[in-house]
Amino acid sequence: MDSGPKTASPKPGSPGASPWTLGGLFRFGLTAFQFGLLVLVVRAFQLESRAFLQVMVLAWGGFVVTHFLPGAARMPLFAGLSVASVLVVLDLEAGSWLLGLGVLLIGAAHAPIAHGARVALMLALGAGLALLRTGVVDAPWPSALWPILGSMFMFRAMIYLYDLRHKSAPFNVWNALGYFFMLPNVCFPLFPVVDYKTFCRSHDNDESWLIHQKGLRWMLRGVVHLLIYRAIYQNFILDPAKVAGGLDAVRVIFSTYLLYFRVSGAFHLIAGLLHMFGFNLPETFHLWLLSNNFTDFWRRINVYWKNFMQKVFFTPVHFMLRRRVSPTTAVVLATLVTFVATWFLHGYQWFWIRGSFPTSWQDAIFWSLLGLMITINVYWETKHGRARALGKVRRTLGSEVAIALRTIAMFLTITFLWSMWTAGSWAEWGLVLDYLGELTILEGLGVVGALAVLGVAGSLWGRTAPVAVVAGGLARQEAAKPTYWRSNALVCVSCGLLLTVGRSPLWFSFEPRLAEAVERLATNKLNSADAGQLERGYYEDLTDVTRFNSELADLYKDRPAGWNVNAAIRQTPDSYPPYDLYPSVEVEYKGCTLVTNRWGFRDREYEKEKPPGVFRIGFLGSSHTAGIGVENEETYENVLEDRLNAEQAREGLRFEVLNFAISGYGPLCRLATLETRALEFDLDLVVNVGIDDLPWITKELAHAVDKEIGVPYPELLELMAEVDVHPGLPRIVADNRLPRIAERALGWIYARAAAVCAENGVATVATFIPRPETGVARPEHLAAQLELARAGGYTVVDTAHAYASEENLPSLWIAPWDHHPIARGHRMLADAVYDALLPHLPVD
Amino acid sequence: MVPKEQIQASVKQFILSEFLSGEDADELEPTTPLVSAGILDSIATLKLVTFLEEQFSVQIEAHEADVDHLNTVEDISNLVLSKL
Repeated sequence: MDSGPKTASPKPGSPGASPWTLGGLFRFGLTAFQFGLLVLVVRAFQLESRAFLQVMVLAWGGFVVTHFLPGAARMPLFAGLSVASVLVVLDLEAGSWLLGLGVLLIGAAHAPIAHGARVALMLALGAGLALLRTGVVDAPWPSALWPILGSMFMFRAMIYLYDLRHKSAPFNVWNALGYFFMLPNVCFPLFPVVDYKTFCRSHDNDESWLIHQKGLRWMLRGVVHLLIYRAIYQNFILDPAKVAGGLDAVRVIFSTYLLYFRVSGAFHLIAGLLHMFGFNLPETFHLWLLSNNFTDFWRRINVYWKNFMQKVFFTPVHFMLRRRVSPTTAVVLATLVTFVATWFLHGYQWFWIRGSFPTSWQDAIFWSLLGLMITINVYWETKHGRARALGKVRRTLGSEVAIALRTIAMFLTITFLWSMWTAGSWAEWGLVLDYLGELTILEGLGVVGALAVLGVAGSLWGRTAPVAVVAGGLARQEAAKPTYWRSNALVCVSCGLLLTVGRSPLWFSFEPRLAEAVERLATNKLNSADAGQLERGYYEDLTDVTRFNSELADLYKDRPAGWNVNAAIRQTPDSYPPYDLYPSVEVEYKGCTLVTNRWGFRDREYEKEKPPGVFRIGFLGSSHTAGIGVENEETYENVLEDRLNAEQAREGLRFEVLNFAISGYGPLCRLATLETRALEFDLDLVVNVGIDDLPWITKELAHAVDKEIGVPYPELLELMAEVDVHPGLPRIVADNRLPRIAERALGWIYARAAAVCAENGVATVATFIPRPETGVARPEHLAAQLELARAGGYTVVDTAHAYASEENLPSLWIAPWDHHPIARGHRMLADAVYDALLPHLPVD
Repeated sequence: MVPKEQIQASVKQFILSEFLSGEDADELEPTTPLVSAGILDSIATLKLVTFLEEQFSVQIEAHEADVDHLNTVEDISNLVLSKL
């Protein structure tokens, strides 16, 4: 079988080889073309971040230059590109700080002192940096630098010191710069723990075209994994509170684990990219869904981590113990130590990326159980060994069925453990497990069928042992599968398909849902569950960004500390609503100055008694109406007041627009505000401004249950009792049950608000303003809300088109992590509201 | 000094009996990858180290129990030879 072109196979950079031969130039051109295609795929599907695309383009240019360089110049070029990537992605200030700190740490590792003293020096520097990371002492550099600095040094410094002690690899400035600032680490806070010795030894250890071809295939595999991740993320992730049946529960449990495709995708992309610079590194993941026991799982999922733990913890601990206890005891104890260290180091990693240590019960149970299971597995293998083969494995029906069943059992065990690990609380996990009992026979058969497919896959492909470290000879074998030309065809055809079919959803216009799914695949937006989490930030501090909700986590990493901290504004009275604003305060909040009037509203000063000749309009609403993220004078209700007085005022008629909106107020808070506060201001017209009231009423009621806040309406309490929701019930269970009565509760609230206005002789209208975003538009909610509001006696005015003239909706956000509108958005809202209200005002 | 061939034979015999029971001895060549092909995993590597230390009265360090030193019968023999 042909494993490559018939022409001589040059290894550019090796003594005597020239990159200018016809065969060499042809292979280089073909490789550069495929690398370019992959860059285009990353761009077309917006994979990872914009920064990653920049680095991919930089890497492509670097790859072209590298081909024509002598071998000795390649590592310096890679180091230079790595340093350049830091400056390209971060700005000059942050990049310079990162490089400066990195050079300081590398210098400390090479300080001309005893090795023990070097380690002590590194620990002291690490402790100093950790103190700054906690925020106890302010660091002079931007906070965005921390996750990257941590990612580059938190583990690699340990490996580097270990190898430095044993002098097991060459050490020089280019190796060190390339290793620590390794392209494309600057775009990936979560980065594979590359081993220093392997990094050095694997560099150009085989013919370039073989290494490059493997790199291209791995990058393609990474792209596919990331697209699988995105398909799961966009279509299958379900908020546990919304679980309504057995299949939903299965969906939550399976999809949570499958989100790990993002990590395997990113790691394949990274390892593949490094291959393009000659680093013939081992595989990072190996068919991790097909593990068939716990040690197999440990060997397949994040292979670099396993190698790191083996090198720095497992083997040294075993060597320390082996002469003191029996060999089996030494292996068991070393395994246990390795798992305690793994648990600690996951917290340590979280600390450098997020700035705090996770101390949840899930961590303790997950790592304890996983460690225990693997230790039992290791004990078994130590005593009884495991099947190994030099050649083709002998297969029997019995052995195949056993592998299939073990693969299924392993998948189920890990998904259950994983769902427990990532659950927000026991109650949340228990709720999901409870629903498993509602699985129908047909649904159960479907799940069994899917698992059977997994079992067959495990039997067919799951036996392949993960390749721990690729030596030169094995790289040749690896690269030869598939053959050179098949490998080229695979990459070209796959990229071509992705670029044409995947980027043209219109091809699927015969099935609109399929076209939408394809379109979603090419976007990098939050799914509805994550957008929901953004909303919950109004209600309570969102301190626990789920570790595997990485899209949201990415956004929050750049969010300034204290963005959602609003203690200086809010006070908590004894009555409902559960909070309101302090009167006459001026604070900085979400990047602007927020001033409240003497009545505790974010508005101009008004007397309670309406002056003669004034038509008074009161707005009830939430943060969008309160104008979070813009100055007081820029809120749409103030812009509206100014415009009304400029264009519609006449002798004996002036307008006052009063803002009773408070961030986080849903329909229930608005009703309570209307009854207890707004009507004191002698209003002529009340505008009840909603957004997504239907899910919001669930949140308001669940919040009241969770915090044991009294809801002052017996009618709502009766509805809640119908679904057995009462104070003290876990929040997640309340969240799950309350949607069953949400429409009735909302209908009652609208009817009550309209009736209260009528009783007080005040006209009222309702409107549902849009958010400046498309990903979370919920037309099904809007239709129900319109119907309920009208049924309750409201006249509904239309403002849904307020942002219709803006094509680039993110340009209206106050920040990437906060989608409240900027001042321009408020002016657009004011125009829409102005037009909608005119028929209800005493104007000609 | 123990000849290299004798070390190789002894190591090969140990690997075949301990980890590759029933496999054809001819298929295990001096350059057959062991660690990188998954035949010697972390536990097997430690067993092999114990065997080498006892059989040849050498001391192997923790950092030597890796793919660079133990990937093939040839590598293993070289490591033992370097310590005799």
